[in-house]
Parts: sequence; structure tokens; C-alpha cells
Amino acid sequence: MIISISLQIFGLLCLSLAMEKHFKATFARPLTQQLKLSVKVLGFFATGLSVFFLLLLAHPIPISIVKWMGFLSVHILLISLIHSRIALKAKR
Amino acid sequence: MNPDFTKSMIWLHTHSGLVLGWLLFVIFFTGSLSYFNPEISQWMKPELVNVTSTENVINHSLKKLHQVTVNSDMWRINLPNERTQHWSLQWRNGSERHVLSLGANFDQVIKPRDTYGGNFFRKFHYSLQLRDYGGRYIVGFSAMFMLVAVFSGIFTHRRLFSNFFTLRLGKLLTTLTDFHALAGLITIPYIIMVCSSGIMIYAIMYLPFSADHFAGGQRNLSRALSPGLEVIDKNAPSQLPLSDFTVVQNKIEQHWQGQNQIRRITFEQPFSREGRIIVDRVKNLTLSKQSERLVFSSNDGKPLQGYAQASNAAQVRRIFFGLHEAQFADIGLRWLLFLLGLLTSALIASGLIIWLNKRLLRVKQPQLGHFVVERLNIAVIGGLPLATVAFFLSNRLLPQLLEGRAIMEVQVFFLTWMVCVLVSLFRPAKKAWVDLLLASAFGCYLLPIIDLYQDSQRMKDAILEVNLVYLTFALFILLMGFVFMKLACWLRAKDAA
Repeated sequence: MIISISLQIFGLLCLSLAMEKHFKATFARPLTQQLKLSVKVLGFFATGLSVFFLLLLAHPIPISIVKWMGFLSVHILLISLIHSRIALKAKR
Repeated sequence: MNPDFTKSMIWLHTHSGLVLGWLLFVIFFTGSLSYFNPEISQWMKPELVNVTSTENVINHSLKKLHQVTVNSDMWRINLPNERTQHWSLQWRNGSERHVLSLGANFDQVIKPRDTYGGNFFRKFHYSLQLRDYGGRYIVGFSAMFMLVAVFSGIFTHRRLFSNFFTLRLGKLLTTLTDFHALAGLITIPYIIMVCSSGIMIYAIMYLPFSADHFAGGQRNLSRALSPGLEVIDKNAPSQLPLSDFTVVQNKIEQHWQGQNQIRRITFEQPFSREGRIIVDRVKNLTLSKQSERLVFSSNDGKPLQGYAQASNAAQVRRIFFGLHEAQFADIGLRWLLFLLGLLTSALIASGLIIWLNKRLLRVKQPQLGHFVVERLNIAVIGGLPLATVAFFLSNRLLPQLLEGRAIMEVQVFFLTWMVCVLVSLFRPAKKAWVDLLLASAFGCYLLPIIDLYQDSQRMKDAILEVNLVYLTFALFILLMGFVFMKLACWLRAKDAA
């Protein structure tokens, strides 16, 4: 479960960085088209892998799916909070 | 997208949220607390002591039941676990019901204080203390409207998809709007799960005409969907029930591997030759509300034919029921669901505050509608946490042997809430917010202090025995006190600026 959850947050982080404004605020440079595609593919791949590990290793699967969905919500909130702090710092 | 459709969705989202928002906030807030129903009950009954569930516990329970009961119709042994720490015996003679709580020392009978505990929040969140006056219909109707508000919200806040992972900090209204949209989006799976399962639990009640048509009534339909065991003949010759559970325990271990797999043991007609034992498994292995059950003869422990398989409809309903109550969840998942519940409450609260603030910016002179929404926001969003803290305080402050103690705790909850309504009506809005938040913070800080002052041994025992339930409760209350205090200080500073 830990592998699945770690891959999930990594995937979501990559997907968030594939968005121009978040990337710019984090790294203070524009996002190139090639990099955008790479980060996006990596993000989707990690998220997909997270689901794969969940189905492969977690037991019982129905309860693990509920956990995965719960973590998905919390991770999105967490990443949004991190990006908002970074954006606020960059603004100041 | 058709602009008329979008406009209709915005209208629907605004009005469905506004009309039932306060009620939904109350339902979600108390429902979130219900995830920790046994833990709250354990904290509210500090007389309970740590008992580990072992085979010995079952045999001692049987010994006690043999001592204290004669010709009972039913015996029940509720085994203790980490969440409840409550080892109790129940028996019934006709309509007469008895309960006995036991301590770690097998001869020790415990009398926990009279309280509804966490069950108050559980019952309140689905019946609003109006069980006989349509409370469950009101809550079901609200759940349906919540689903409407969520789906219409997707169209109302459609720009969020292009601004995903965005929460603009700074101006209150902008931050709140972003938070509302973000929280709405990430809680969609949770809200759909919790609302649809909530409706599904009482589906038969919400569709009475179908039940009448297909089975001749709600009870008959329930029976037809999930058949029970055969009725025991009360005139069958009598025979004493077994007093050593080992014989049954050995058979159970062949079916259920692992330690402490039994949650509850029920003896039906224990003094009859046809009597039987129903053993319920723990619930952490299945999403379903109904865990596995095994049936044995109460005289010799021979396995009997178990329950017939429930219909697909009943099984689906049980899974929805299980998902709603989350009894399968381990401590981590329970915290996760609790946080999602609180996040949904914050989503509803932020929606109500946004509605008001946006309109107050547009008008020169606030109207009656604005006044009503503003005061209801304060009374419900600010008042409910304070009433909850008062409920916990009353548990520690009311005399232990007071007659009708449990009801008085509930009265304290509602009286405090009533005072909050008065404060919201007669104080200026910003001052009322600060007052209620400060009072909640004060109550949260006071609670562990009173607990320590009354009996410091409780805390010492909790630390020595690593009673995480007790310690986490105290820490969480202190954390909430800090959050309320920070919010009050922030609002006061903002007001002064």
C-alpha cells in the first residue's frame, strides 16, 4: 500500500508541474512543450503504476480501493496547498 | 456549452446549497464525528478498563451468564476490542433486557456513567433527534439535494479544471472561492459515496409503495431479501447450554484464521434443546455491514446450518451500509474519512459564506435575507462546534450518579446551541464570530484540564498502557482549541484592520 500511495503522490505532483503556472512559480522558468509532455507522461505513468501495485499487492482489494480514493483527495489538497504557498512566496 | 444550461446549473447549485446548506453542515459535521463513535464513547465512559479479548474472556462470560440468568430467551457476549474496550454481557427474559459491563478482573462488575457517548452524534446525524417526526426523511431528502448540489457545482465551477491544484491565498473571498471549488472537486467521490449509501440504507423506507406492492410492507420486504434462521420452538425440551466454549472455538478456528476473529456471540434460546449459538466475525475484512456468521448448537457445540445467502439486492445494500459506516476501516483510513467529512463540512460552510459576502459587496444596504443568512451562518457554523465541546464538558462536569444524566448531556448540547443562536442575533456579526470561536477554544483547552483535575490517574494509566484512543482524543481537542483560537485572532485582527 505504501508503494502505491507514494507513486500516487509522485504522479499527482508531476501532473501538477505539467501545468504552466505551477511550473513557472516553482522553478522560476517557463515550461517548454517537450518538458510538459514528459512530465505529463511521467505523471500518468506513475498514477497508473500506483493503481497496478494497489491491485497486485494490497489486500483486501475493495478496502484498499477506498483507501486509494481517500488518499487521492488528500494528496490533491496537499499539493494545492504546497503550490499556493510557493506562489505566495514568489509573489512577495 | 449552452449558456441557458450553465445558468440553470448555477441557479440550481446556489439555491440547493443555500436552502439546505445549514442542515447539510450539521449532518456532515456530526456524521464525521460518528466515524469515531466507539472511541468517543470510550472517552466518555472513563470507568471502562482495558480488557484483552481472549478465549478465557468467553468462558468467564459464560460462567457469569450461568450465574446470573435463569431461563433467558437470549444471551449475548460483546467482546472487547481496542476501539470499545467494553466487555459486556446482555440477556433477555421476554421484553426484560439486562446489560452487565465487566472489568479486567473477571469478577469485577463495572458501572460506567450514564451517557449516550458517540452514539448521540451517530443518531443525530441521521434522525436529527426527530426519529418519530420524519427526521430520517428530512436527512434523506437533504442527501438527495447534496447530490444535486455536487453535480450542478461541477458546471458552476467548471473553470477549476483549467486551474487545477490552484488555491490563491490572500483576499478572503478569493481564497474561499478557490477553496470551495477545490474542496468540492476532491470530495466528489466521498460525497457521492456517503450520500448515495445514506439514501440506500433507508431505500425501503423512502419507497414504501414499492415495498407494499412487492412484499406487502417494509418489514416483509426486508425479510424476503435477507432471510433469517428458522424460528426456535419455545416448547422444545429444555437442556442446559454449554459452559466451555473451547469445543466451538476449535471449530471456528478451522473456518477463520488469525487471532481475535470473534466480535460477538449470541445464544438464542440457550435453555432449549433446539437452542443455537450465532458467532459474528470481526468486520475489518469486508466492506459489507454484515460480517461472516457461523451457527452452532448451544448444547453440544455441533455446527448447524447457517444463514441462507441473502439476495443480491440485500448484499448490495449491505455493502453500501458498510461503506457508509466504515466499520471495516483501520485507524488510518478512519482518520482519512473523518478528514474528508470535515472537509465536506468546510466546503458547505465556505459556500454559505461566499454566497453572503458576494451579495453584501453588491448591495448598499443589507436586506432581511442577508441578515437571516448571516445570523444562521454564525449560529450553525460557529455554534455547532461550541455545542459539541459543551456536550463533552457536561460529560465530565455533571455528577456521575445524577438521574437522567445521559438526557441532561443532550440538553446541555441543545441549550448551548440555543445560546449561540441568541449571541448571533444580538451581537454584531464579526464580534459574534469571534465570541463563539473564542468560547469553543476555551472549552477545548478546559476539557483536558478538568479531566486531569478530576482524576489524574486516568491520564497516567492511558500513558502507561499506551491507550491511543484516550491520548489522541485529548491531543485532538487541544489541536482544535488552537485552530479555533487562531481563527478568532485572525478574524479580530482583520476586523481591526
